[in-house]
Amino acid sequence: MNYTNSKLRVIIICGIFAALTAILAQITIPIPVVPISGQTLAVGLTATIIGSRYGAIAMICYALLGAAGVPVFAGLKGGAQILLGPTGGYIFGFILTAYVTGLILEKTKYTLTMAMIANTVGMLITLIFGAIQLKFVLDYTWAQAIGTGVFPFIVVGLIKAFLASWLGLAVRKRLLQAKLLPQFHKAA
Amino acid sequence: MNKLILGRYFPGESWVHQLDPRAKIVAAVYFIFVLFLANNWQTYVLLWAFTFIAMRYSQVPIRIYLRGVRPLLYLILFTVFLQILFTAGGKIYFEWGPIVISEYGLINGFYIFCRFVMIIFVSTVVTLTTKPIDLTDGINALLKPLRKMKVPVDEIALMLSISLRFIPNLLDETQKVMDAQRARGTEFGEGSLLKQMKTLVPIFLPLFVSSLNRAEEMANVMEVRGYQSGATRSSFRQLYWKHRDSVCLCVMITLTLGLLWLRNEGLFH
Repeated sequence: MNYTNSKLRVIIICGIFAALTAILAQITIPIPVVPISGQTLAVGLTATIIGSRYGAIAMICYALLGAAGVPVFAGLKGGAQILLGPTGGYIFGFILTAYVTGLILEKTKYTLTMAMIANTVGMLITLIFGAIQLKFVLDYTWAQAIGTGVFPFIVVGLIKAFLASWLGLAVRKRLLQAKLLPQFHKAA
Repeated sequence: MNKLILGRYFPGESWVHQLDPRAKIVAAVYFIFVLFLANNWQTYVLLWAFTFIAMRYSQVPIRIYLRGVRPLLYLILFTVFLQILFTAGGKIYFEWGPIVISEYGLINGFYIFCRFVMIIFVSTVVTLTTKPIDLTDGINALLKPLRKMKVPVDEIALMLSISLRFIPNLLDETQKVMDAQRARGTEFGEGSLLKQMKTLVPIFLPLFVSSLNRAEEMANVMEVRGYQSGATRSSFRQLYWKHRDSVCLCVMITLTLGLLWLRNEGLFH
């Protein structure tokens, strides 16, 4: 079906996943006690569904949209000031997160356990990137940066990682059945 | 949600609105870097003056700018607070156990506050006066030199415009899917954690399936119309560098010189 111009498909799909991330970032899933923002969830989903390379490309696209000032980040924020500001590290982190999460899954198997491990690793990468930028932009000490930027998000992060793996695998399975996912991981 | 579609564009015909997006982006990013040259009150006064002039010339009401600061206010104040507490030196105004409020702490805190607010104001000027599509065109144009380094700039530009174009469609789609599931009796935001997670599946599945369907359709349509990746393409929207854009960059250079001068002035006194 897609032996012609598969590069074009990759571009479109990455673009669409960036758009989906932008939309999910605006949604807060009202789970009791810990409302879950869709932004990081979308990163995990993207990586689980379209894999390392294209997930990372989609996230670069998302970051660029935001840099251009389109309010794609959580809370309808956008603009270079968010990327360069204290919380911008999380967004840069998404790129590597998507890559690593996808890579772990590609190198192993698409099972719930592996997806869970991959997404947890991914979440930690996001948080670490976030904390690093937090430290440098706000002149925090490492302890302060980790205290405000990493610890408060770990529990929610684990729930999100579970959600991303579970939903991601379900969606991926369905998309493969419907032959909507081009054979990304082998050749594209 | 409408805001996501329109961006934060505030329609107008002001001097700033008519600037080339490239000039605006360069100026705003440049401003953020120049900001770090400021080290005394004279330099901050100059920067504030610049910020206010930029805001004035955009003819966008001040309250819209203030609205942009509000979501970040908590974080800014928290940082200022930490700065005040942990910077020592100068006269001590207040001491209670480990909590010391010193002269340098207050000054530093105030400067950091100014820096944040100015960054937000100046980048808001850009986003309020430029349409998202012009912004992505601008970014694309600025990235062009990267082509020499084998960065696929045109593909990135295409991807960005596809994203922008799809955001409204996907928003609609999400709303439709949620309504459809509600009509079938799904209750969002109720029940146990697991139960709520389960309600997400019937939202995400159709959403992703339909978006990928769209992707497939779009790819077919583009191929049928003769799209070839890597081929030279012309653009429907052209960017023109005008007189005022050069003026804008001159203003930025003057600002830098002014800052460098005041910085040294401050050192001598």
